[in-house]
Amino acid sequence: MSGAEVQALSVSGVHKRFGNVEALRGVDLSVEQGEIFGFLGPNGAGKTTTIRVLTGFIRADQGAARVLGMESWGETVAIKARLGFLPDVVAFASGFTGQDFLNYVASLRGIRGRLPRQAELLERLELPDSALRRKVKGYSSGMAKKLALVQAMQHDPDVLIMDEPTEALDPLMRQELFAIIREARDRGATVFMSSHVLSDVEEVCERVALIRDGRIVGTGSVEALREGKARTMEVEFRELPSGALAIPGVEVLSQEGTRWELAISGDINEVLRELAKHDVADMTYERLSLENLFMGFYGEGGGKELADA
Amino acid sequence: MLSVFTYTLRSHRIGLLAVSVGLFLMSLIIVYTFDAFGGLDALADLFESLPAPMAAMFRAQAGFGTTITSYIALDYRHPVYIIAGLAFVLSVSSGAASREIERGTALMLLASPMARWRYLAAKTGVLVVGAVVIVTMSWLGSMAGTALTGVAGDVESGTLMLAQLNELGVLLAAGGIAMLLSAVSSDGGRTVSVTAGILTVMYFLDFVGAIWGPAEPLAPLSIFYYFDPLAIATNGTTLLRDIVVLFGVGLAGFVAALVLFQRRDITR
Repeated sequence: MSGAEVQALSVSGVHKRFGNVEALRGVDLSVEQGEIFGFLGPNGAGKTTTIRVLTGFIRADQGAARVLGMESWGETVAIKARLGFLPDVVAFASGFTGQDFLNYVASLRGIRGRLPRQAELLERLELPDSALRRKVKGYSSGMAKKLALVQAMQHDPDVLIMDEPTEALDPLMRQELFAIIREARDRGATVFMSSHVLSDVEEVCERVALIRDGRIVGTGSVEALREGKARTMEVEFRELPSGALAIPGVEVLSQEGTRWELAISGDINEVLRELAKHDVADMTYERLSLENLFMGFYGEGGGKELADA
Repeated sequence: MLSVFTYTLRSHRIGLLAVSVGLFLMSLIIVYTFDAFGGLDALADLFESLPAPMAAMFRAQAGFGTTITSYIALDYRHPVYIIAGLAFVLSVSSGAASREIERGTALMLLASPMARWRYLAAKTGVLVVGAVVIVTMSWLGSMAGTALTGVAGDVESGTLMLAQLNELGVLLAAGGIAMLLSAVSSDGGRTVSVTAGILTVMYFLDFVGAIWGPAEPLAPLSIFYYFDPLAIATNGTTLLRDIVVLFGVGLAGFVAALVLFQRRDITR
């Protein structure tokens, strides 16, 4: 089998139970090589369990998980030679300085000394030498996350699996991380990242999968997932519109004095054109939150699934 | 694997130094204060007058040998020796797997291309090396004491070395049990408390078995039953049975730990 034919990641019919809790109930997903793939879901949905099955930390009860064509549990050492991994919990053994930790992790890969890529990542993620000389137990959560990101990427892995990579990063660092991720993709690496922040995933990922209650409920581009789902807009009028707002795809959710809340599922331009006819004092428009997206999938209807988009 | 060994040894160096220097000094002082107890005859009288439970604690029910070697070997069963050595063993074993999983520090390290059993084997190596250092330092303390007091010629250093080999067996057997519990647990505190509980029960099984007839059949279930430095000093040799049982328990525990750690889920 040639490298081009092998999927970067594939999970097929994976079930995992912990005692009475069925964490995964037949998860299926696949990620092509060179893809940036987002894995979305609320807390407890099964994101971390799926990631740990893929990375060989957890053995699936049923089904198969593969990384670069290799079986996640049985060939975990070979996989990890080509893998960069950022866990959901970033914690360091006490006694390490930042540089000691990076050297230690590199040495576990048989690498001695500073990697050229390490220096670049440290600079871009703004971890100066002075910080690296300090004990990691004194690091802020943001610094700890940056150090963990460097250890995951310093050896230029073919596959990068990251569990909540943007958590604890400020907006500037998130942008820098996204740039680094895109560059990794441009070099041919595959990036798989989980998050419960839709905007992060939307910004950098080409495709996403949504997991809820241990099942994949949708796979596709974020836009495809959003399609047909309502967003909300709050409008404060200086003067109340004389009649009802007659815009296709807009529903008035609430009306408190001059403040209206609208659910918009149609073309936003139609809405803006209609609003321009009125005296608007203020307006907020929220992109669809992950919660609302999930409500769209599950909500009152419950169990509605999206076809692969 | 060498990196894990080196790092683990470095992280336990202060504990190892404290225990081994402490036991070195204790061994030295025990010999150095020998005369303060009134010499061999006075000590023999003292042990004759000890209540049976106290004598059983030192495995001196059959009497106390009237040599300095016996006197030193007898003290190797002092609870301080046992507790200090076990404290190190418990610290290394609980930190080897369960505490790292509990704190989340294991994940980034185990994401490296190294089989999990090799990772734990490196940590087990530190436990073994540490235990060897501890018993060696205890023995060296005794030797230093005899040299300082001018009784080196009266002491059988090889016999005391065998007595410390017996103690090494106890530390490794306890280490094997602790490492096994650590390998299957995700809670470092629980590993320490359960192991300490098992070892305490074993200690009292041995103790009660020595002083109370009905409990005697249970005593062989304890690793401390196979720890008898006074008998080594008296006979001039160690019992092969004791060495086989203690090292066997240790080896079985370590091998089981490696196998189970390789196969378990890491969920935290």
